[in-house]
Amino acid sequence: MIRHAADLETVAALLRGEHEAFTSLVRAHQPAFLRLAQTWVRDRAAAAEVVQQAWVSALESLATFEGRSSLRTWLFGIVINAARSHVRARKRTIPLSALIAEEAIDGPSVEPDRFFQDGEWVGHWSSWPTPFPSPDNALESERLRALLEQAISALPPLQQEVMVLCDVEGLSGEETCNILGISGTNQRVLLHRARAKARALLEEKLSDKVKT
Amino acid sequence: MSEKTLDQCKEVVELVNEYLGHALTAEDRAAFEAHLATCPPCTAYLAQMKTVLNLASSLGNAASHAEVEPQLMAMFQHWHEKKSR
Ligand SMILES: [Zn+2]
Repeated sequence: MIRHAADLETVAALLRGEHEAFTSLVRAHQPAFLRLAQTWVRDRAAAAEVVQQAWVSALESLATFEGRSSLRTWLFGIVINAARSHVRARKRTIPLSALIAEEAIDGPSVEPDRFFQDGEWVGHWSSWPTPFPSPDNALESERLRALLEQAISALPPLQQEVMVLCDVEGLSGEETCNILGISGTNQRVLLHRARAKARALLEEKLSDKVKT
Repeated sequence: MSEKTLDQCKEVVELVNEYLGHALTAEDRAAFEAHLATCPPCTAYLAQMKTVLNLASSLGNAASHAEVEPQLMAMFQHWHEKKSR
């Protein structure tokens, strides 16, 4: 069954060497490619090289794309592999299982000291969350987006990948599991932890701004 | 059968993702919403999380309009020529 007919057309155009097809593909995916590469390769220039390498690999294996997943999902898998190999080649790698053991552990979403530890109000907020400014004007939403970018890039790599794929790129949990080679349970825990941390970091950054 | 209640905020915040992902049972959802109705800080927490998710998805919508690097175009050209040979 062919589920991704439009993608197969794109692939056919690429195989025919049509420049416009490649240009629009790069424009559509380059920002996500860079974001994904940077979950593993912090240095921007090195991440850009990884992305370039990923495009080469994608073209080299293009003829094997069968439309079983969307082209986007397929390409994301290639970028993540390129980024992980880059890290592996520099021997700074930790096996996936070790990363999962480290990052996919349940823990409280909010620091426990934000809640009353005992007494009548045990488990209720002692230090209330301050509402975030609403991103209602362009300047404010630009500032908030920049702060969230910082918060996401401060997450450990797997949590970062899961949050980028699910929340930034809008992939399903299943697609994310397939790309990263993790189980559904781990994906859910990683996303839960990532969102909780990103929220806490954003809150911290916004309250710093208020203080100064 | 007694109605389920969610008393502690500490427990409520752990359900926010499932609530947003429509993954709570009807019973849990009702208890979650009942708690929120009387709890401003948990309401603020939920709003914060919604802001985080909206901002995150808006990051992803930023497609590039920049020129594709000549290096990348050259690579594509080279790949196609090599393949056609
Ligand atoms: Zn509450």
